[in-house]
Amino acid sequence: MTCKIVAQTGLAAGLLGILLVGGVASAGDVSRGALLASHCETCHGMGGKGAMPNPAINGMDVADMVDIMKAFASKEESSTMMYRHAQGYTEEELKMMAEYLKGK
Amino acid sequence: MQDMNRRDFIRLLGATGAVSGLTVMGIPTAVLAKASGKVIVVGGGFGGATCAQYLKRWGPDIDVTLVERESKYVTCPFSNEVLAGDLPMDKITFSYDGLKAKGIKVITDEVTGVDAGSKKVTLKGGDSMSADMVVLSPGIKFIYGRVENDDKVAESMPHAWKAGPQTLLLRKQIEAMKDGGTVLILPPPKPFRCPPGPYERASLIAHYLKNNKPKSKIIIVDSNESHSKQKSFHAGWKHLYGMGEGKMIHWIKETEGGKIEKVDPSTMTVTKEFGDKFKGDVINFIPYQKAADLVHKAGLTNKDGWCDVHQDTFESKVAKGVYVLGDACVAGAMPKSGHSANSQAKNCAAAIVSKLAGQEMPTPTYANTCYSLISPDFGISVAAVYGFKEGSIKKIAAGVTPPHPKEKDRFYKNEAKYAKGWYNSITMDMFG
Ligand SMILES: Cc1cc2nc3c(=O)[nH]c(=O)nc-3n(C[C@H](O)[C@H](O)[C@H](O)COP(=O)(O)OP(=O)(O)OC[C@H]3O[C@@H](n4cnc5c(N)ncnc54)[C@H](O)[C@@H]3O)c2cc1C
Ligand code: HEC
Repeated sequence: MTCKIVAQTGLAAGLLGILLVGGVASAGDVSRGALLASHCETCHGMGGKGAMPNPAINGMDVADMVDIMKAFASKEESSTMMYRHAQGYTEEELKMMAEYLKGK
Repeated sequence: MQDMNRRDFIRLLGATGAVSGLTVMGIPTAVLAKASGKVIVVGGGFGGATCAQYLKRWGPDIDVTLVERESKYVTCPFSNEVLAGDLPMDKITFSYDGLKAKGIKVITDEVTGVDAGSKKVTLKGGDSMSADMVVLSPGIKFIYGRVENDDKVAESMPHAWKAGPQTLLLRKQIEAMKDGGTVLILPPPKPFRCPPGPYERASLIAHYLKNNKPKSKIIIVDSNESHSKQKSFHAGWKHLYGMGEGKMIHWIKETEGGKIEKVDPSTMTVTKEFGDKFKGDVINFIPYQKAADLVHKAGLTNKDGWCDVHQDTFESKVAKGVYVLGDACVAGAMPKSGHSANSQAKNCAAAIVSKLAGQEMPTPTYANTCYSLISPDFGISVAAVYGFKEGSIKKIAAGVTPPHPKEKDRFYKNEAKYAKGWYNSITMDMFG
């Protein structure tokens, strides 16, 4: 099983390489993660890079982001605003936005 | 590669979990897609400016033109702070230079007509232009005739419900008022732009009066029987200013005497349906509202004067390829706010970019937050996340700041602080 995944990942990466080299990777696309994260950028600045005094949320480890968002939602981590937004997303959605923001 | 189509390729990436990996690297997921075409956006406010920005960001090859009547945009958010003398006007005024720098064509002119069939937009200057898609976010217009004399009081009883000269006029009148005077605030029946707006306004005027004219009073003569964030506003008023008859803020709901029937600028009085009369030294009459003229003339409004749209894409229900955003549209459970318009604009941009690239749009997702300052250091808010279910926008999670003193004082202070962060961020999203 593990082997198969590794093999497929390798194949996909290879294909991506071809596409990039061929210059086919072009503009004009919006992923689910980008759309989700754009709703965080409203308060956390472009690319989640912060907007005084709201903190930067870019470049965070995906697991850490999902963890703190779940903690906001359960109010284990106290917040004035975040608990209400964090409660609105599934774990899968949190992962997608976290992955997008990590690369910013 | 030739014998593998795009969907297969994406499926393969998806199977390996590499799809998300690609976005991490900043590489678009659907590497074979290319969105191109021409889109005209009309209205450079919360909906329109955001939509133009995100069309360009997600579809750099799309030819995006923004048409806006004014050369500068003054935000309604934080205009109550200007009204109360806490902020100068230039701090809430923005140019479109940031959009131009990103390759968005910005035309300063009024759109006089939109032909929904041919996607042709006509300008006041006489020119016209066509596009593949047209996005309209023209905001609201005031409708007159529901209250006697309501069309004659824009100068004597300024609405200040579109930020700009009206804000400064009302500010001047409040400044000129004697200590011991009465300010009347008259909110229209729902739905109107910014449901908490009139109550934030009462709060910040109270803050000014408390410090400068402490014998003065504010009476909110409401045409509604309840209002946004009611418990939290009332607790804040009691805490900071005093609330009730004879106190600094007195709120009179619709059920006490009915809606407003008449405003009289010669005597500066307001009469309710069942005869109650109020006299004000300063009167803020906020007129009834509908979607802006542009969408009426284009035949896009329903019987109530708002635009019905498919709430995932914001495409008009009566005109294909024409999209309506923001205050002008009917957006399920979302209130008419700048944050809502911004969120709608992102979904609309995602729908258009995807369509021009021949893809399905990602699952829509929406959010709103309305901060209100009860004083410059005391904030409350309402926030919600929404999803698209059974054809309309429905709430998934939501919450209002608990009424004082349920939280510690620093909570309300932090909300006031983060309200500024929200403003800095959302205006960067639109104009940066
Ligand atoms: C006092 C007050 C306080 C508020 N505070 C908040 C807040 O704290 N948070 C919040 O989220 N919301 C707030 N709002 C609400 C917010 O301002 C609106 O919901 C928001 O502006 C709606 O965006 P829009 O794009 O629909 O319209 P607008 O922002 O009004 O933009 C419409 C634009 O279209 C242009 N236009 C119209 N017709 C034409 C035409 N024919 N040709 C060319 N251009 C045209 C107009 O000039 C305007 O620039 C507040 C509102 C008020 C009145
Ligand atoms: C309405 C504005 C707003 C929105 C929208 C918003 N945030 Fe926040 N965020 C805040 C504020 C304010 C804080 C500070 C904590 C608090 O009091 O809520 C914060 C804190 C955080 C933190 C903690 C950062 C740190 O260093 O302490 C993370 C992580 C975060 N937000 C992630 C997100 C994500 C992901 C989204 C998108 C789903 C999002 N936020 C949407 C306002 C917002």
